[in-house]
Amino acid sequence: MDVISPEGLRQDGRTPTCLRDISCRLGLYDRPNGSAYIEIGNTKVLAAVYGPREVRSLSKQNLDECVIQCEMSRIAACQGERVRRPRDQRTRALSLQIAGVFHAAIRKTKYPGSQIDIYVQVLQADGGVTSACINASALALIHAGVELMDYVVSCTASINKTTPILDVTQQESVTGCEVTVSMLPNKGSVVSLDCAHTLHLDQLDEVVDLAMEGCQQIYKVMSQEVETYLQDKNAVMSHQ
Amino acid sequence: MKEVPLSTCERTSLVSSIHAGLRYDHRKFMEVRDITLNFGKDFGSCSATLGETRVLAQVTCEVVEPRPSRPNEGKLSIAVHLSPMAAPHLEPGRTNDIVDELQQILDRNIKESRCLDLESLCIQAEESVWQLRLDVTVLNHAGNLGDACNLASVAALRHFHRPDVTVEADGRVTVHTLEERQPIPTFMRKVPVCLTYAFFMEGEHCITVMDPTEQEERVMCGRLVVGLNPHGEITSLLFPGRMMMEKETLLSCIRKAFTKAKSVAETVQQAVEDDLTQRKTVSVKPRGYEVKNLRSDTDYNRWLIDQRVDKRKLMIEENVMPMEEEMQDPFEANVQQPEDSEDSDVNPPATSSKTPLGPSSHKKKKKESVMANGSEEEGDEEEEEVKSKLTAEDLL
Repeated sequence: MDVISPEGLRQDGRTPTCLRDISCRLGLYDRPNGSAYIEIGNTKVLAAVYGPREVRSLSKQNLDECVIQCEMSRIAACQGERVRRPRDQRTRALSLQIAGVFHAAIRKTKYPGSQIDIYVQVLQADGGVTSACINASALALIHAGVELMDYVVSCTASINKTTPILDVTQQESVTGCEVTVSMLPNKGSVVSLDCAHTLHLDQLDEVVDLAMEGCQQIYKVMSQEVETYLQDKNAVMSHQ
Repeated sequence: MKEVPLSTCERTSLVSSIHAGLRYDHRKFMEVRDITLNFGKDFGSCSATLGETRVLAQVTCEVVEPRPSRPNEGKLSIAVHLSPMAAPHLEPGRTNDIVDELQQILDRNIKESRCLDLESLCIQAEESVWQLRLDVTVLNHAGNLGDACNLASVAALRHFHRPDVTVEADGRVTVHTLEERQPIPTFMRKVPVCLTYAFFMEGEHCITVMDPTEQEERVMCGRLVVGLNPHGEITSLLFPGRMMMEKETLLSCIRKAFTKAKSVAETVQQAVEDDLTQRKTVSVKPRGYEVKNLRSDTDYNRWLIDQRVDKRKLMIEENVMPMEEEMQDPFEANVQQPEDSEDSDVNPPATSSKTPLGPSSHKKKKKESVMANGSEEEGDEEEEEVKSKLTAEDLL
């Protein structure tokens, strides 16, 4: 099956540069300091943030800035095949990457000697899992009130022969590459770049450009959600 | 044991020297440490050194049942082992962040890029296939493990030969020993190369350094690991954040990596071929790793100093003031960076024809060339050969 039909549409009826439906929510739970949920098409991710709190292992404590830890896990039924281990080598590598992104985005010197933990749970995986995790964690951190330089937004892109495609699904990433770009949308700088499967050097530029455009679109949805959340909360507070 | 932290003065000294355009090991910013490849007694055993970083890769094979989803493809599994041997702060028997990252880099560069023809490893579809196991052991951690592991694994896989098999009419499979029949080499189409850049921030300005040492790795702000092959395909890309970067800086790094990857891939291919032809022509069996092939860190440092002394003598003979040259070089390299990136923007082949202009580019390439299997004089001769080949190709 072709990724792009002769009419120029993809399997799910999108044009090559169209995002999937995105919906997100802030503040699902009370116990963690911050929590968020994001749906990008069929990819569904839940994130919770604890902290800034006391550092668990004193050997890791840094008196100049905060320690950021991330743990990502998948539920057993998140994919077509049952996932044997919720955490394996691959999710550990992804967790490192997510932690790295927030090392760049959080104002670490504001929280010296403390720790911020990010827990991410993948409920359903259908392409772009890393980017969904980063977006969900960013929202959870905003909900927790952790000081960030800027929003952190992430998006994937790929290329099919010569047509760059935005926001790939699982099916589309099997045949092509999957480039994940995370950026700070207002500053315009990249905080993480990741490529799985092969991609030609000459095509990299347009794929990254497209992913960055996608980031800006996702940013709009995310900031909209944060605004409505704050307005709701404000309304409740003033009512009391 | 806990990792011994770098003191503040060590840290500031390293950072300020890099801001001044100097590195502790006298390298230029875009210079890779020396690559050495040694091969063991058996096929598929290779020890690679990158400066003082040392990695051993060993390929073994066995006949197994194929995966039901891919009945006519062989299997390839990669395992990275890091023990306290490599560095004192690594704990035995525990997976740590470094292993996870190395595993991901190798998986992407070698497995997912499909540089190895797995279908040729099939014996009987749905019945039996070869499984190649690649065990990568880090012997000494002196920075940039990603590049070193990739180098050792690729060389070991290219060097590997598997025993020949015959399938009888009734489906019985006979595996012939290496003496009975000529073993079959693995078929590797493209050579994946891994290159690491370290970034140091100086205010708004970002300094890019290639192939960081362990000390530099501990001080750097962020890094970029590019896996690519000489055909211009990117097999893996890892920029794990920790800092903000402009998109253009990252992309220009990736473009620059391409020319470097070509020369590294050539070095690997050459070293493997040399060893294989030597095995064919010389009737005496290879003796594997020997004391004379193993180079200690002190030997290596001694050799580096000798090289530097020779270079200085040469410069004095040519009536060039050595001090000025050394002071200028790093700054020149610094200034040239943006120009280089512009060149490579336009057309990658164009830059390769320009490279032989400066004498420094010769030296750079000379440093990368291999010193396989021999004493230092032999290595030097080989260096000369590789160098002449490289320049000849560049001129074409």
